Amino acid sequence: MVAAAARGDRDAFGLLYRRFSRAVHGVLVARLTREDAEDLVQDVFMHAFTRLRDLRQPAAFGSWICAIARRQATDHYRRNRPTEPLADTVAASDRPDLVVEAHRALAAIRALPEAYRETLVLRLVEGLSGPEIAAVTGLTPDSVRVNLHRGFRLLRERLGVTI
Amino acid sequence: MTTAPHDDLDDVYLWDPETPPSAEVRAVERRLAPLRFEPEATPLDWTRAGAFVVRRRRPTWLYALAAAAVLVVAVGSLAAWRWSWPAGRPWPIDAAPAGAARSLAVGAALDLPATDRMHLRVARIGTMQIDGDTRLTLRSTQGTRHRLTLDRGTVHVRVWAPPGSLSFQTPAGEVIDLGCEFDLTADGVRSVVRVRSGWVQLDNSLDESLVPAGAMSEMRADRVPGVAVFEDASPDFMAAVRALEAGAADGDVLRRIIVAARPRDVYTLLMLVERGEFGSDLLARRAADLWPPPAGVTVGAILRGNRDALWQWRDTLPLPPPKSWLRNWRDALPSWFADRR
Repeated sequence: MVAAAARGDRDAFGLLYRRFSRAVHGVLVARLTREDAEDLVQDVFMHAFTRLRDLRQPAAFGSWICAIARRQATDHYRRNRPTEPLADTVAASDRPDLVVEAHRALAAIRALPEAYRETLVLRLVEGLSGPEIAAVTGLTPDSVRVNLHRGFRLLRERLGVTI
Repeated sequence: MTTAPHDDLDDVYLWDPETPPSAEVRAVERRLAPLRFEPEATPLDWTRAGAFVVRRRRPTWLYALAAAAVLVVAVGSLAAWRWSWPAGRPWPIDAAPAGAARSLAVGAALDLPATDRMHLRVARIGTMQIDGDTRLTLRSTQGTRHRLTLDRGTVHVRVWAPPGSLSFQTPAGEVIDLGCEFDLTADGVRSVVRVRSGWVQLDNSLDESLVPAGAMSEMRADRVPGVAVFEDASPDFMAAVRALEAGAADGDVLRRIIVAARPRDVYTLLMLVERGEFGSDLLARRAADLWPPPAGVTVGAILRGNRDALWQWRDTLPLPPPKSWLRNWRDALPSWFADRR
């Protein structure tokens, strides 16, 4: 699939997008506002499409594109003052209460130590499994397991989660 | 109620969302659900592709090919420049005694006193040092054909050019550069050449002789040019070879050659055999002992005058390839630089 996309096959690249866009979004949303993250997902994939020939190992596509996402998030953060136009999002939603709650939870994750942020976003926001997180972050499975355990324990305390 | 069971359940579900859910984790997931990215709802926007220039990396071999082409053109241009020289243009003299001419013109005889020394450029193909008490005349010069006469004295020559570009007429015969560095001394009777790199050809009306790097030879007008003898050969071997060439057909001279010869001297032995010098059969057998001939070549064939067989044998010797001026590219460098390497 990666090889076909590298030859310019847009359908193949579309499949890669469907498979990895959540991971890319997770990487971005752990650093930027949700609106900026959604917008930047497109840029990350277009940027990756132009540079696919540079990718030597097709199996590393996930971690490669997430690395691109991290770089672009950093560049974007430097260029733009981070703002959270929450009001617009809330106003556009059918359930503004849920949106507000979601952003509060995301803010709580972002307030955690950096080591836990991306791992928790990928798991709790985007729904990736532990092995999938390890694959796209380049962390070892054990590190992911520890980050999930410790990060979630801290998050639970801060959110005051009740069943 | 302890938290341990919750933690265990949390960990399992956190690791694998396909397992039965943990209530606490599920509660957080539900809170964050509005933020989840849905690729189906946000398909790839190819209209943005125009903003990203497709960068096609040029293959490495293309750069290598371009670099090779540039190198070939550069070397070719340099060679063409070196080998071009207007007919009759005087050679520049780099270092000369006070009051001496600054160039060597065609037809002008240079008579250098014993106390002086001179450096001049051999057109653009090399350099020459002229020792004291030397008489030299530039007969003609053009492109890659430069002819001189050395009546007496010593010159040290370093050239990088196609074989035959430079030659000296001496009283004993002609000395032709085959792309190399050599020293040449001439007097009214004989010419002696010592080759530093490449090959030099000695040629008079009787025969010719090829002298490789590391060897020396001498030529007299009334004899065939001497065979090449490596300068690190024993003095007795050298003296005996010259005596044999001078016509000393006796067993003692032959014995001295055979005893002192080394594998490196097989080239000398084969040249003596080729000339049919006295004792050629013994010299050929000694050569075979020191450096066995290749398959299909026998001493018998050599002695029957099979010159092709002899050259096949000679080609197995560790000698610089004839007319290998391209391989002697270091001769194109200034001597101070090449000598330092």
